[in-house]
Amino acid sequence: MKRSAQLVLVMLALIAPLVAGAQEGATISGRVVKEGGVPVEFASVYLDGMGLGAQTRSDGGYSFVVPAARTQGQQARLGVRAIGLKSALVNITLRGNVVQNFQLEVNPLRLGEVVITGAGTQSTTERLGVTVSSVKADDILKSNEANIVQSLAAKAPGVVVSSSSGEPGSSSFILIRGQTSIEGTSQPLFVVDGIPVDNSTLVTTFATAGTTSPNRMMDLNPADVESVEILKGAAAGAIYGARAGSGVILITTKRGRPNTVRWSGRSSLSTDKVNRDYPLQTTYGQGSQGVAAVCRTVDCRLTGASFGAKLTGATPIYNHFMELFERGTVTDNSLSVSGGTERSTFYVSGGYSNNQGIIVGDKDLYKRATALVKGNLEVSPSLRIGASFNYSDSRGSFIQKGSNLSGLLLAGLRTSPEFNNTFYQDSINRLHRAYRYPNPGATSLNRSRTYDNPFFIINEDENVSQVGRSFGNINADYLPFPWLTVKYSLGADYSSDARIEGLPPSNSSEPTGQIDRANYTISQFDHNLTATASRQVNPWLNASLLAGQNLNSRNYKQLQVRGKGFIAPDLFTLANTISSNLQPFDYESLVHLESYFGEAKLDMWNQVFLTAGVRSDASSTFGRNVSRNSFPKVALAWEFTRALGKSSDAGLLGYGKLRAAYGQTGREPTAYQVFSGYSASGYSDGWTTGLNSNQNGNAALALSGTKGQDVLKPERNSETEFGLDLGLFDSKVDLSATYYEKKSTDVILALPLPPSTGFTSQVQNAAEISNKGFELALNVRPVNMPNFAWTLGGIFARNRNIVTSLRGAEQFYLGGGFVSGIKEGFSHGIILDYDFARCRYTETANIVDDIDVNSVCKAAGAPEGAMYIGADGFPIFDATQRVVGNPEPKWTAGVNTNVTLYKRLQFSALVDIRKGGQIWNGTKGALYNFGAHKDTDIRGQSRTFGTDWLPGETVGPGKGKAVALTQTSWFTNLGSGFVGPASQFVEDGGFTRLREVSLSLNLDNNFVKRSGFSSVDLRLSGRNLWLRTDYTGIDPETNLGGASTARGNEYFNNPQARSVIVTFGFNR
Amino acid sequence: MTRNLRALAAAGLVFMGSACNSFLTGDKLSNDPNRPTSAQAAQLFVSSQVNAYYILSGHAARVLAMWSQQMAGTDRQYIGYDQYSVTEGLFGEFTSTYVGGGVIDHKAIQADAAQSGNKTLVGISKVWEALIVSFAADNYGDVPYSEAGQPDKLTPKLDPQASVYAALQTLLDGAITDLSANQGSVGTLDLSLASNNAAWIKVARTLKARLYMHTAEVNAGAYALALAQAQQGISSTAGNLNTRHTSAAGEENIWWQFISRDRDSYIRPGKFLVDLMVARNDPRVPLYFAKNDLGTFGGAAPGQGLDPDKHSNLSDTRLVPEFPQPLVTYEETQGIIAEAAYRGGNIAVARTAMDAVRATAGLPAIGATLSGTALLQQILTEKYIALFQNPEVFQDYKRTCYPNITPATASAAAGIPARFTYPVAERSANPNIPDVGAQPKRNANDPVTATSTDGSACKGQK
Repeated sequence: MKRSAQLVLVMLALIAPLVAGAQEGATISGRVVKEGGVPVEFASVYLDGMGLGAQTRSDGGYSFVVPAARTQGQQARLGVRAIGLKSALVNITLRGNVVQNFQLEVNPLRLGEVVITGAGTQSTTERLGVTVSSVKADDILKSNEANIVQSLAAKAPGVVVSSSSGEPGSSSFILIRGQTSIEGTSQPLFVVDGIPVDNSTLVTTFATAGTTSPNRMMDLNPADVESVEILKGAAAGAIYGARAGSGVILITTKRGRPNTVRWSGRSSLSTDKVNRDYPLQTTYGQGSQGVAAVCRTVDCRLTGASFGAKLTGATPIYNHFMELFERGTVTDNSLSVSGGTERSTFYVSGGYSNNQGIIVGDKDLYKRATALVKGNLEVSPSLRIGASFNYSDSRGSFIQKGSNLSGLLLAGLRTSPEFNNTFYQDSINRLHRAYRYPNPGATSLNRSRTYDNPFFIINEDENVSQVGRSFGNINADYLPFPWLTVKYSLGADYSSDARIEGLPPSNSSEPTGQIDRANYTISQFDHNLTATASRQVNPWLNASLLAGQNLNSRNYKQLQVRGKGFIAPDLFTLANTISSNLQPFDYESLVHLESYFGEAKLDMWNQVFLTAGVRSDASSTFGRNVSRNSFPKVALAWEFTRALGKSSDAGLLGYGKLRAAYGQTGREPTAYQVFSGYSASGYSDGWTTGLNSNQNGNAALALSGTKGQDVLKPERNSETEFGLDLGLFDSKVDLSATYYEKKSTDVILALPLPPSTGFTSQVQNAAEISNKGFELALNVRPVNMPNFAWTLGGIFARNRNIVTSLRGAEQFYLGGGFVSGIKEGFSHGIILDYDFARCRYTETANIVDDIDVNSVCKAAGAPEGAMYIGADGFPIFDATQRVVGNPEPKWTAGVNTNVTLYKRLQFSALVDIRKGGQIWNGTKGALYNFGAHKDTDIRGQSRTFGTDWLPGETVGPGKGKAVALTQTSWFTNLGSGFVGPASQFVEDGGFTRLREVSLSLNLDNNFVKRSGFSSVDLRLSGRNLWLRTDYTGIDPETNLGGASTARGNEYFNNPQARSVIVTFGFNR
Repeated sequence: MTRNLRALAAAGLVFMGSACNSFLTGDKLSNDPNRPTSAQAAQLFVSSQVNAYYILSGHAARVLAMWSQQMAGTDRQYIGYDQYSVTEGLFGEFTSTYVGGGVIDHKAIQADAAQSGNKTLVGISKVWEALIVSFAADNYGDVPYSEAGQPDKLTPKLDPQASVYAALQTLLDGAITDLSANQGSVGTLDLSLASNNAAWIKVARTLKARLYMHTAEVNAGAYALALAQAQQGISSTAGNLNTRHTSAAGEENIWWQFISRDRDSYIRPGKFLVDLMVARNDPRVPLYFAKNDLGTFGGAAPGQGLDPDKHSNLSDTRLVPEFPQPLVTYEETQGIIAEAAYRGGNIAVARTAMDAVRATAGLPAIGATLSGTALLQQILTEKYIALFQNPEVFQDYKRTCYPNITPATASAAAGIPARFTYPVAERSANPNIPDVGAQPKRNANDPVTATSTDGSACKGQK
């Protein structure tokens, strides 16, 4: 309360001096054109160092007044900036009417363009000593993604984006320059118009089961986005200190331009399909050992295996994958009106998108309505205020997936080929029938079906989410003196997500019916104040100094209640469950962060640019014995071509910049990680639902397994980067290369304690992770003629991640996956499971089942990794946990091209390439066990390990021995995903994907103009149309845990979609 | 003037907020609003019983029931477990023995209750502690105990199994003393025996007898000690220590949860046990088992997938949410008396006790007709059947190799596993735990039984 009173006082103090009237000053006007005299609209004309200026109108004209108090007939520099054009700067004398015209040249290297660098700071491209990747509105629109995060895929080197499935409203995961945390988030900080906003992905029940869920940035309509800057390195992110540990994404929304009122509308229709089929066998029916399973009684339970009799030609068979999918559609409409006067602008937009997904039925959908209102007012030449407000209402309905008896593909793909899933209700009593429970009796409503019928899942489950989200800010720019700029913003972000995850009676997870009702309320307030003083010290030296303060408050509230035992079978309310079965779960966290930051910039000889700064953070999440933490940075850019005497960017080497930067960023501990306490969370052995702690009406508590910790600091990344930016061949080619080394220390780890101590873990700043890599971006503009322009671009990035220290702990599993873990000396998120016995010369003791494998290997001269084959001809299981795969890609790349004909017809394409990166194909392992996978067609046939089954080097007494692979000898034995080692199901997840392709036509001829539009465009585009991969599972891009840190897990995930989209847009 | 005002405003902005020194502290910032930071002994006690139920009748109990071939794995991972494909990651019971709900909370309960003079609670807590720690010692051999659950011991040492058993005998003696004082009560907090001190003393006696039996293979003198304790042990089935379950959510029998709700097809009664009981026309057959789809009683042999035509499920008597799972029983007590008396040459006592076990199932007395090895085999058979699903059955098997069951897979050259591997959680964080390859195959109390009690070579112990 005290605080807001303070604020009001200060605001009053700010406005007071402005009331003093302005006398006659100088009027500056003119016209800005580009090549061929074409007027340039929206160019910014400004008086350098005075904070005054204007924007050009559609005819290129501009004009503004300099108050008399600030005109003493002095010399001043008048500059102009426009997107895609080179900026210009001339000297003028401030007296009377000044007319200054500009003709600007094209600027393919984007030199001089303003780049937002966060927390109220900005720079220009050539001054940056760090890499900031920018993605523009046009590229975002072209991606046709409803999710702004997904639209960044393959747009910037070192930024890897993966969508968790092709379902409507499913989350995307973004990883910038490798993983740097174990317990904390790997998702970058999102900042919209200067205000940090929430991008969490909340899971209602389980990450590995349940349903997919959106990441909260989906609440932003991509059509409202003007540009996205990605701060990748620690030097760039340091201004956000302990919140920038995973990078920062700065989003700037569109704003109104003075002088005209502009209408812009866009309407698109997308048709989606599942992007690949799944290999299932259709030769053998349900049963075991070659004998068909027969249902003899009502309520019979049958084996889940398809190891039964060979099906005769007369038996109808079904494609249990494709039958689950249909054509999905997305309609997306948005309209914006923007404009203003010389002193005030506005932007208003509304959007509605409706995505009906690819799963059969109408229960996979995501609808989003958004509205954005934004206004800016120049109160006086020295004060500008603005406000923006964004609201979105999104409603989703999702389908159960993953490791889940009620999961779509788990149930669907395991079904025997001759069982007709589409009749999911008994013809007489209408009760749920499934392939393992084909003949439900009249009293079987509350019985498990072992696995649900997938069509029951699709039609009867209820998994919905309804989100109201609003975020916005008020801001002011105040220039009390020509050399001082004060910027203030106060922002808020609030979302409320009401969810239901409901499984009606006869589902196999909770046969009496289960409903989870959850409400999540997330709010954030952010206060950010900066003051920048800048001064031209002498002709070759400009200096600026910034000081800032940030206060941030984040509150998370969760109220979740689970009810079991439905009263009416089809009503998804808590009141419709037996009240004694209600299980509440509520949780709240509050985090406060108080920060101060400063930054100094020196521009020397107009070619050397030095930035240095520090941010000091104190957070309520730090341990009680930890005070402030500082995050310094320094960055140097040298435009060496200036030293070579180049003043324009023409020529073989027209532009060259060397840059070097060092910085630190951090990641706050999770709220309340520092405390130990008691809980009543209940007990389970992992195979059963479990017992409550409270029994017989008695209250119970037990000590939590995590020991408290008073000394807990933020995690810290220290990163050094070097880079080179070149403009070559008359700016027809630009190249940017960056090498970075990032060392993450104090990484928080729940360091395991031996359970015999009474605790399982204690959080510690214990681990260290290293990321090293390089990034290349190359753009070529081989043809740039008025009627034919062609560009070709490529990005390439390679990151090597190593967990360098776990402070003695051997290994960890990561939440959100089944087989993902951490192990010292290996890459973050490696696949940790078992393998067959092999020659392992690097390991001293390699004794498996009393066999000294290494000595057998040595005797036979077998190479490292040769698989040991026992006398019976089969490999043997090695019961030591090991690293059996690594999901980190070897490298990632993107190739894009754009051809423009007659300025109207445009073709563009974007290819996303990921080389390497392994995936655990758990789906295949499970389907082997059930005899449902296509590969199990060979049952009963002879195979030799090492040659035509699990090919590779072998050793041992059974080497070369052919054995019959039968249900019991192999597929439900060591060849089963449930019994055998996971290593055999680890596959290369590399891919080449045609992520975007589009053909668009832009019309602005007289016919269009007579119709009342200034221009109209039509676009036909495709998304994910083509995929090349050796991966045999659902899609190498899907991930079981959604946007979780555990990558490379596939276990009956829902698949990806491909789309064809038609878009119509107009402007007036 | 204007200039000064502007300077003031600018300065005001910059220093705004720096006056707030309480921004980082306060309710919900300096404390976790979600978890209590202290607990009462009574609350810990309730929780510790639930924990013990899970340790003694959860996953480990299911696996041991498969290894003693009372049950069989019929789906996925359980087919593997049934065939001894177990890894060091498999058993959470070890962890549960020590962490919240386990030893560390029992120590807190005992300290707190001793201070408040509730000796009954101290005694009951000690019996539960002895139960769960002995289960760990039975299955892992040497386990941390003397240094377990102590704040300053970050890597507790392994105590030799024999010394753990000895420490537990002392603990149980203490429990008997505490319970005999009859000071204080725990009322309905005692889920299993309703704060009945006399009953608890008898449970402690039977448990002492059980632990002596566990050392008898290496110390023949233990039979006499066991006999003496068992004769003061549980004296009727009414005094059995069972788990307590109801049909309320989160209170259901764990076997029911596993089979009827969560993992329907994973486990079924074992062929060996079903055949054995059907052959002797045991009246417990329909109490233990339901009929298969063909209307007969049949068990699953190890390594088979579920076949409802052949495989019986558990009976509707046992497979209900409310079924109390027996942990320490009158049947076991009489079984111990019978065997220990037999070993000590007291045939008459052995016969009577064996018939007492049979009487609980309504079977006629046959003790008088038996003697010698036949009597011992009959005693062990009665105990094997009467203790259905109780992990103690496997401990008897390790000691006697009777019934002389055939290992699940021909390729299991190493025989039936005689112990669990230490869990990876403990091994990787505690340097006192040997690597997997260096861990013993058998525990100190359990050398290979070369010859089964049936006189032939033991098939499952190598």
